[in-house]
Amino acid sequence: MRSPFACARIKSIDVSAAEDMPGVAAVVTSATLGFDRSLPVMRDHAGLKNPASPQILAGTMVRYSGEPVAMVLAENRYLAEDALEVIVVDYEELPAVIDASSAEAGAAGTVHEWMTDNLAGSFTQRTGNLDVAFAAAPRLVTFSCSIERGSAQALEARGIAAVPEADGVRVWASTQRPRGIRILLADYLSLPLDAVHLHVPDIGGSFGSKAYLYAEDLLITMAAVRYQRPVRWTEDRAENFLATYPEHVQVFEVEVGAEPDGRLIALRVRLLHDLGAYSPYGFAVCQNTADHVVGPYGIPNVEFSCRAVYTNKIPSAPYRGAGRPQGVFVIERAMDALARALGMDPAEVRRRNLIAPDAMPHDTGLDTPAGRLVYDSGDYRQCLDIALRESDYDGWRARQRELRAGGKLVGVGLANYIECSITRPHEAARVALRPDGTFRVGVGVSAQGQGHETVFAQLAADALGVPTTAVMVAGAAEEIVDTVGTYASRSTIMAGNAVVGAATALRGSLEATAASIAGIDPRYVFAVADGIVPGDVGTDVLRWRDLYSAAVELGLALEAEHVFRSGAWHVSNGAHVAVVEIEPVTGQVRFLRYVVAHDAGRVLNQQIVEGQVLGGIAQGVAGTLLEELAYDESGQLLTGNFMDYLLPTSAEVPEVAIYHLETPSPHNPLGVKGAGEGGILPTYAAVLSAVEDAIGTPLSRVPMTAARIASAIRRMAPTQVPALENAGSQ
Amino acid sequence: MKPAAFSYARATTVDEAIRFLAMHGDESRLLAGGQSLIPLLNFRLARPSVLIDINPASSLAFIRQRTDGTIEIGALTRQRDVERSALVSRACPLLAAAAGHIGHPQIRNRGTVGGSLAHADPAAELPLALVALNGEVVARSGKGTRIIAGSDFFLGLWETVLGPDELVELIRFPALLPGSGWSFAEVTHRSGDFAIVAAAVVLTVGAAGQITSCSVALSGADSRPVRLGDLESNLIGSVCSEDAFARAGEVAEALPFRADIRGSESYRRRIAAQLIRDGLVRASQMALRAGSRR
Repeated sequence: MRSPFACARIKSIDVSAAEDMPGVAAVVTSATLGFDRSLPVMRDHAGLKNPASPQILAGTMVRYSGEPVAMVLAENRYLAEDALEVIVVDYEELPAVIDASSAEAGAAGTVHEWMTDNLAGSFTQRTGNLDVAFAAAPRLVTFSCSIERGSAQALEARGIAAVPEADGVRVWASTQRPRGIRILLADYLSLPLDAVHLHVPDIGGSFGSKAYLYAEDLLITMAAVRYQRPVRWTEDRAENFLATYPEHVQVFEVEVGAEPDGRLIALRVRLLHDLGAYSPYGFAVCQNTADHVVGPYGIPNVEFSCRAVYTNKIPSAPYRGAGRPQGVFVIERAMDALARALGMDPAEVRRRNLIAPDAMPHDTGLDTPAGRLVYDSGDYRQCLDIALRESDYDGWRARQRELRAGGKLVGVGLANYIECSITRPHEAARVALRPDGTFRVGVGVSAQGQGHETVFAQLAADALGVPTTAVMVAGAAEEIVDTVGTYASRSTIMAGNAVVGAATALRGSLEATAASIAGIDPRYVFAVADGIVPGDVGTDVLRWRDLYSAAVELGLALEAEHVFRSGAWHVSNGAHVAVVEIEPVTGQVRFLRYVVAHDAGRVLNQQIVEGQVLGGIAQGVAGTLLEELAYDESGQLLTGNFMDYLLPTSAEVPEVAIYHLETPSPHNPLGVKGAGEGGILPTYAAVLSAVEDAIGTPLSRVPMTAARIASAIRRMAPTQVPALENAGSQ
Repeated sequence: MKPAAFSYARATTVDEAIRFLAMHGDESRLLAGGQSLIPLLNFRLARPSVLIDINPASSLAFIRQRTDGTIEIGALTRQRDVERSALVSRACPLLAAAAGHIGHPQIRNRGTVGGSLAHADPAAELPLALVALNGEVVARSGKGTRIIAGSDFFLGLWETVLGPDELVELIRFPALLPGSGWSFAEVTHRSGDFAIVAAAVVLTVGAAGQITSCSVALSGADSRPVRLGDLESNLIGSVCSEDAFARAGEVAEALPFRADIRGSESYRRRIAAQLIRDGLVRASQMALRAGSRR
């Protein structure tokens, strides 16, 4: 049962009728929960002065519509939903704080009664001397903008199943963070870690939304242990909208100081960040915004300050990009605003500010909680040049004038970006030879559709010298201790290098084993697809499965583990160019061209990398033009289903041309960087830039729906409008 | 989201369905394609105690043409079959086009003509086509059969004149007159969505190029599809011209429009005006071409 109100006091809860309903095993409320803790605040940040951890079940106050209040355990979901209808909760509805700006102003009251305002905390990140730089800057541009990115909407929602065992519990969970969740479950349930087993089956998407220990994870596992019965919960879509954490709005005030030639000398950004009702992820999202707001540009004086506030909305969580798209959005909005102010081409303004390849590694001067932000490698100018050339940027600029003369609203937008993966601290992999002569690769990370199984098999097979069909990859492997999870575009960097390390070590030890069996110098053995050749070509191959038996007899190692540790900034980059045409009456956007130049270091599997880029663009395009979490003044979500929350179909997503540049990272043996989020990061900025260019008036907000575009057009040009071009007509 | 408990009754014939309806009336709902009813059940917005499944009543699924050209479509006919019917495309091309705009193929494969009309979503395509084409609904109950004009069928959001014991048996659509042109156009947020606004236009042009009959219908303005009667009577007798159609667009702009999350009043109004103007232009061009072939 979830709260129907965004803010209310719970005066009483009566579950007695529900307990008597057919098929109901138990009803749990905060009174019968048995935990005196709330949910974890997963990251701390020096600036987070007032962390607020989500309640497992609300007892006296509900602070967002959808907050869990009671759990019914029944024989099936039908009966459980029947029982929910007879639970009587006496709520006293209170005024809700919905909008971030009014939350900051404080006039609407406070979300948490123990606080005197709604400020969760604040932080500032700076380099150089802003006052001096702004005083000296010949040109100043100021603007405000906001971005709300909606929710991840993994097509498979969350789910968890728990089965009691003799001295513990076995859990199947959809999670991006297997070991962390397992440790937390054991901790909350006061069970030894060895008594909690966690399996992560194939998962249909996560995009950041499945990295937290949600109330349901804990409640279902607790129920299995307490009632000694298997318990399962599968989130449906309606529940997903109320229960799985989305992102919320970020509102920016931006000041730019520049030279007349377009070079930025100072950037000041003030962020108002809406956390929702609690801070489960601390400042993870707004810190990412801070770390991406400078982007691929060399700006000597930067000040980023953030104030994060609570509102009576569902707590926020990272969603693919997790604050990075917002940072990219701000600096790219700044580039467009500066280009307008100076009457310069937006591509040229950007080019003049890009960090040169010979300036790598580049020290931004910004000290972050993860250390000094230093970019490792990249050729940003070449990326931009590729995107401009392949999109025929100059050609579109020329045609745009003719098309506009003919009444067509055609616009060209572009955005550069960097993508910093969060690597720290480690990921491990264990590679083992199995009795049948195949290999098992165990990694701690779990996959939700990223293709880990393919890429890790590829890496292990290459290192072992066997075909990929001889390698089986097991994610979320319990024997892997040094693991954190799948997020922040880190898995290939961290687990990928661990797999290579482990496979290489195993190959070495198996070769040594083969040499000792054959009684020859290990230098003269080499691995082939079938096994190891102990000696010259022509010698009989010692097959893998025979080697297994021999090694078992001799008591020699059949597996190797490798831990890859890194805290280094791996910085991918790229450029997007979007060409759009706008239908003037409806404001609908049609894509004429979309080009990506992408550099995530060495590409291990082009199809997978391109899948990541394309998927990110689909989400970014829809986030810019279609998807919106709209709330009314009382905090009710107005777009809580797929008729109103507009996920894109293939018809709304542009055809994308992708060009790769491969600048290896110096920080890992494979030379790879993160590729999971690059697709989405610049899309909001590039698409909004194109729309703005098409209609010829500055826009400051995402999502920029067709209706908003139409009204922006109306505001500027109340003249006659050409015929509907893209209305579905017969 | 799971439905509240209900009993399930399977009707293999129309008579059986009517018997069940007579027995359970208000407490029951007919299950045809289920494309709207099942979500309503799952959200517990509809809570019938009996669900009468008419899918086994295969005699309700047909498309046929009477000797006067009228197309008759059985209530259980799938929307996809209407969309792809050669008979419908020849005699009632607007109807086939309207059906093609419903949702996605998977939805049209299940969704039925009678179901969409009886559900009466104000943004749906088939109700608009019924009103625009002067169609009629043949409804049956234990008390007998009655014929309801399309323009009288809808009362408002999810509301029709059908009684609790009545079932839609078939729908009649008159064939397009010679010398006629038509247009069906809609604006949606995404491909396959319900329309924000949809407009259907049918025009017949006489030998001298004057409009002899005219139908202009709109969804997205009211809680049911509406015919723009004043606009139609102004157009009848006049010669097709950009001016006449521009004036028609202005008339549409003066209508009241509803507002919801899919579009504000003014957004819908501007789209409607444009759809009607463009629809009249397309329909008149088609009618003039058809007339010149006579």
